[in-house]
Amino acid sequence: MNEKNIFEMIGTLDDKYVLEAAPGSRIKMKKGGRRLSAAMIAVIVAASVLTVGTAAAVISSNIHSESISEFYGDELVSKGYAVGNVTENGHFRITADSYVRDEYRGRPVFTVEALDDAAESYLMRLGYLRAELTYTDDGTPAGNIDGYVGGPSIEKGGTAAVCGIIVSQNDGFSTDLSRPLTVTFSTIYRFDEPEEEYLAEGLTLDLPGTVSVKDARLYSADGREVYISEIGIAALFPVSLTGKYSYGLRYKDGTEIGELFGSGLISDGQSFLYSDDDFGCLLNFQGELIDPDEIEAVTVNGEEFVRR
Amino acid sequence: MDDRELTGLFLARDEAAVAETENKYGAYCRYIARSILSSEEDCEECTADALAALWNSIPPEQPDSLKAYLARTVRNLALNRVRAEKAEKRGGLALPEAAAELSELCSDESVEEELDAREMKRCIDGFASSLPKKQRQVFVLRYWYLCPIEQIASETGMTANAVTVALHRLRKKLKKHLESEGYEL
Repeated sequence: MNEKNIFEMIGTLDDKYVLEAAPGSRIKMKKGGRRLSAAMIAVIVAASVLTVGTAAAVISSNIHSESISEFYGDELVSKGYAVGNVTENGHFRITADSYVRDEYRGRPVFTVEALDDAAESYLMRLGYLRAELTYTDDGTPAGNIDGYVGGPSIEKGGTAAVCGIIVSQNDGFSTDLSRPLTVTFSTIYRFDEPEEEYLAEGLTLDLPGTVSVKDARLYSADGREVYISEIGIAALFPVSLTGKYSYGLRYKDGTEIGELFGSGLISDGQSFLYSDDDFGCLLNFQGELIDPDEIEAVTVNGEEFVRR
Repeated sequence: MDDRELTGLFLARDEAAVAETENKYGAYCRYIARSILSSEEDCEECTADALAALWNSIPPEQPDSLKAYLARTVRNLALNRVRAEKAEKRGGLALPEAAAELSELCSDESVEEELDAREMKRCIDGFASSLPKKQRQVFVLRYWYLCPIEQIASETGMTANAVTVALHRLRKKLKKHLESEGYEL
């Protein structure tokens, strides 16, 4: 089979897929609203913690696989990273569909569903979802969570898939990701109108602390360290907060993915490399978990980090 | 006017069908054509040709989705135009034209070819259905609509880099899928 055959084959693609991808078939989200800079992440994570809500979360088997797929493909459910905890308040129902974490970040996927007209109207313009974290066992503050909405749009009657991020250490604040966390949604806000906090009142659910992913550590010639997991990269050395970084991956089979760009975020001597564009999902690995065992080297601004 | 009503106009041989279809789907046609053709004039001509092709083919055709049928028509016409231009530049006879001439001598597609085509469609549809929605959208925008990376980024809310990475992975996945289906690459 040659290039021409494959091209012809793609030409026979079913109408439903052609129409699904057709431009103009979706309500566009405002550009810029989807992206958070590293500086914004730092501000959000350092924000003050509000009182913990008391609504109990309900364990449910109603996982939204489609929501998880928006960010991670189909691997998470099969790997046992599904959660399925649900909370609702009359306006919204929020399900924690999955939760993965490595040593430095936690990344839950939520599905937000509207339960009344006000919420539906709101949901169609949903931009971010913000929540406060406490440790489930003792109720002490554990940080904040901020998430962005997946996909280019939300259609009427639809639901929103939201991927959040929890950073383990930031501006003196430390979140122990190995402990179960309680998430209290404080704000669901949209791009172009004032925040309406009342719509998010009483939305609280739990995230387990036991799930983690495969990871590896790689080193430069002078001993600096880069941490890579299935869900992202952390450079464990100082980088400039406002800097832009190019980084790449080299697989053991020789395949290279290079010149990915991200932002640096300093936090207590550690730095994380974020792709600000993909913020809230799999960093640079959008759509697929990376197996760190397959990675031979990571490059940061052209400098190579390899296994010892 | 919905697609069923538009198709009804074509079937009734009402010339308003062309104007109404242009009104509803003209921008969509030009979008598809622009990804393939470089000149705006060619895009306009291609859109007009596609509408004429619809007029000539409905009836007897009665597509389930007029929009998809039109999209396919525009894409094919635009690709034929590019092939013709390339052949002309090489000084040779334009392949689509030559093929069209020869096709008059031939009977319909052989049973074997038809089976191959059906098998190919099953294979690519299977691949598309296995993808998460966002990846599928990127794949279809790139390889069906033939959109530039920047345009896909704009459509999907991703960055150009993220689109490039996603496409790299999609090609690897497609290769694996084709091989698992017994195709030799």
